[in-house]
Amino acid sequence: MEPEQRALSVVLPVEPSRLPELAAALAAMGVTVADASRVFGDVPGLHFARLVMIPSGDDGRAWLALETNFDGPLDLHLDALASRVAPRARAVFACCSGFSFDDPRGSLLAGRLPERAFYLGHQGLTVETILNDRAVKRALSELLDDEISQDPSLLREGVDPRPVMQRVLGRLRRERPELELGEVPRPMHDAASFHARLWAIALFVVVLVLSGQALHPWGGAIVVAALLAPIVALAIAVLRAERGDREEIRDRPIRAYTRDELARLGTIGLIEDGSPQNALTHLVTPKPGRLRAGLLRFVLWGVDQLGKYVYRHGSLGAIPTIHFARWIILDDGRLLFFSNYDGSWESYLGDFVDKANEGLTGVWSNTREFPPTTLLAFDGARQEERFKVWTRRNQLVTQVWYSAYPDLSVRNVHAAARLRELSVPTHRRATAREWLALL
Amino acid sequence: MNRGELQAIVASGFGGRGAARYVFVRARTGSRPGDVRAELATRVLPHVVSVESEKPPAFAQLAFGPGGLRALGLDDDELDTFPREFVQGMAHPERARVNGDRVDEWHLGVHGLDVLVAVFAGDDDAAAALEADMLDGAAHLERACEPLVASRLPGQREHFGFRDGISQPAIEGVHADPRGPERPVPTGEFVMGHENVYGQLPAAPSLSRERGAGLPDSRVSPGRVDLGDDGTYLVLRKLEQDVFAWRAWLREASRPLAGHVVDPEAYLGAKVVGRWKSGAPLVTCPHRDEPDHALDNAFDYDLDLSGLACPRGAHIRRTNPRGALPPSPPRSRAAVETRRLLRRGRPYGPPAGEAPDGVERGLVFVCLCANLSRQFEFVQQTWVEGIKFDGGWSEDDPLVGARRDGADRFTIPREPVRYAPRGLPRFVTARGGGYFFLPGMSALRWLLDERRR
Repeated sequence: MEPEQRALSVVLPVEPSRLPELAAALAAMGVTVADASRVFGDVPGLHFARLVMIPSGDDGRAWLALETNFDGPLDLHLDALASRVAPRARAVFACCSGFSFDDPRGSLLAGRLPERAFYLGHQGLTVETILNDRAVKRALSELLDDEISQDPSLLREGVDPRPVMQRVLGRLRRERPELELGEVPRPMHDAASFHARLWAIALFVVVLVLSGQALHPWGGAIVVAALLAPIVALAIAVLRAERGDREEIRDRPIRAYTRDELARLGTIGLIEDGSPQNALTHLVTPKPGRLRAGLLRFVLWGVDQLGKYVYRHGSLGAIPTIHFARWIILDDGRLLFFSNYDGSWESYLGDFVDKANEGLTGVWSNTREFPPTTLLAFDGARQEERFKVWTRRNQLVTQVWYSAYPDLSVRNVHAAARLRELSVPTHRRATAREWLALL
Repeated sequence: MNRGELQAIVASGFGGRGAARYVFVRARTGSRPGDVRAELATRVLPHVVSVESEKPPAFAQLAFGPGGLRALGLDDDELDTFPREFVQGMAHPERARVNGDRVDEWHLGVHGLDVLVAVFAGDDDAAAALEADMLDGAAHLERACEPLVASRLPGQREHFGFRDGISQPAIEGVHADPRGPERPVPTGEFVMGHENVYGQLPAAPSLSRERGAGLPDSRVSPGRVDLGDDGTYLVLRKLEQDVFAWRAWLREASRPLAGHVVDPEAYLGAKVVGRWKSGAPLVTCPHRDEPDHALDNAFDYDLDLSGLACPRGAHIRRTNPRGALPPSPPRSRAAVETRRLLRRGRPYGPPAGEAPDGVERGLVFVCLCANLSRQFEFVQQTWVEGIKFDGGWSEDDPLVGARRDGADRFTIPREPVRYAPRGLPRFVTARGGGYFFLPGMSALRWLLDERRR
């Protein structure tokens, strides 16, 4: 089974001469989530969205990027974007070369790019469910407050939790009958099939080695050597590449922003950290050469698999604050990163440094001016100040950003889903206790 | 580590000295940088003590905001080698956004603070005398505003009545005998020019070689000399405390607990702070104050992840979560170690009596850290003001939070029914402050050298 949540990434070409016009059109849409709601607010099943200007790269090409995270079939989503978003963001799309307002759907589809890695922090929970669960949590908390104010003896330690739960839940059912309670279908990526594939690969290798051995006394060893040779060759190439990386940034002071970068950071600083959630848009150029391009795609594929099949319960590695994130490779090779996360930039980047540095180093070590690495997966992001400065220097302004539930953290979403699941009559004391603890 | 290079406040809050004056100084209009340097060098520098110095009855510490460095003759490019947050200053809209400040409520440092002369002495008469000695009759320096006069309250308490300043990291190489079983924090967390918790040298302000002749070569900015060595950043905030609002709220909000706990007001206060009034932490003394445990600091939250003993949002748990945060206690402790602050604050204003008196009182919050954004601003933004802290829904620090965006609830987990009073008033209001660079002694002498350009 697959989750119903999907990603759409669209980049539409913009003539560099029209970038100022595009910037003005985006700015005119406003910078707050409330502003963006006027454009995206009635797109059904939309979790997060953004519109970002991608400045010209080395070959002069520039784009407008659209990110959406949505529930349900792509077709319906495209229809909604075409009929609702395109007309409202007319001035923005009008800057894009070849965008046709007669066929907005086709124009959007023509600019679609695949997500090289896509992560979602609440697999299987639709916007509808998330909003329902939020309402359940709020209503239950208020009802419990009300019960306590009428009868403070509920606060006595050791009271039986079951009648309390029964009373509060009963009131919820009577007063808010429209709210959905109990389990709802929650399709998720199938971890078992992923494990099965891993086992199949392992089995294939064993069979290969054994059949080699059956054919010749040294056959097994030869097969193993043949399998290892490319890995060794790759490791040697990686080590040589890494030496070059160190040269690239040897003389760069830790803190070295250009005036342009400082101006951009000033703009970002007044948009960021406004709500409990934040958006990060980050654009870097990969290091030259086929080796690095290939490594980059391989590592992204690995991150994608981990996000889908291993980190399925709201924490990417040890980072419990990401709603949706993706990496895209633009047609000119540049690597674009979108993240919709909880909390401050400093706390998010701190988590990168303290808790997820290997994975991120693995991806970004293949891009320009990244802090020095070891084996392309270690050190890099662990160089705390260098890494943060590097991230800031490559961060873009997220001009238009939408969230359907800007007041919820990933942990809130999961806690509310659990609360809703448990909101059915029970005779178990432990369940009633857990339920009350969630309020 | 040459401790004679550190200004003394890095190692100590001078607890034995009863009085402190925070004097805000600026250059007089039209004074030239050379004259300002000369006057600071002759009037103030002789009173600035290092960790190693013999401490006279009254002495000073000296730090500079960006305006102060400009007044000494540093140019914009040189200032840009300082962190952005320092150059912007605490009152800048971006910093105010990060720190949750409403600058329209401030009356200190709205337009920046240039020079901080902090005077310490046994009593305020001695402190005032040294202040007058340094500044009265100066030709190029003037006081920017009234000095902040701070003191000590009996029993090392703050105005709400709680013992303060118990948890304090020890610094490698600075504190010979680290207090408690806590591992000392790497020097570079609090002093530039030394390795920090990541085993790296902090980014530091620097100068070109010809300009900074005599200063050591920078190890982080190739081809330049270092101005940051043995220096750090000092954060000062004037935090007004509304003792009467606090007492009234305790009385009101503790009513539903009557009959369920021994002393509802003391219980509620302790749940908000995370320690009882004596200082005894809730984790080791969950049921009553035990003054024998007043200085306990070797505790963790790893056996209290649900917050039944110490609420997850309690003030001392937010400001130092130890092992409380995901994904696991050891990883939480490692991450928390990168966010430590050295606190050097003191109360100001008279102790509160029984009845409201209209007198302002509070805390001159002072802390030191080598990285303003990673340490001070993070703690303020993500832990104190962060309404989603550790799984929360809409709660800020119940003691010192600014109650932004309707965050006015505080959840006290209890078994089985939690108590979560709403409508928390603001007990603490920031009235101003600033970021300062506290140079090492050599850098300080260079900055005040009247002969240089």
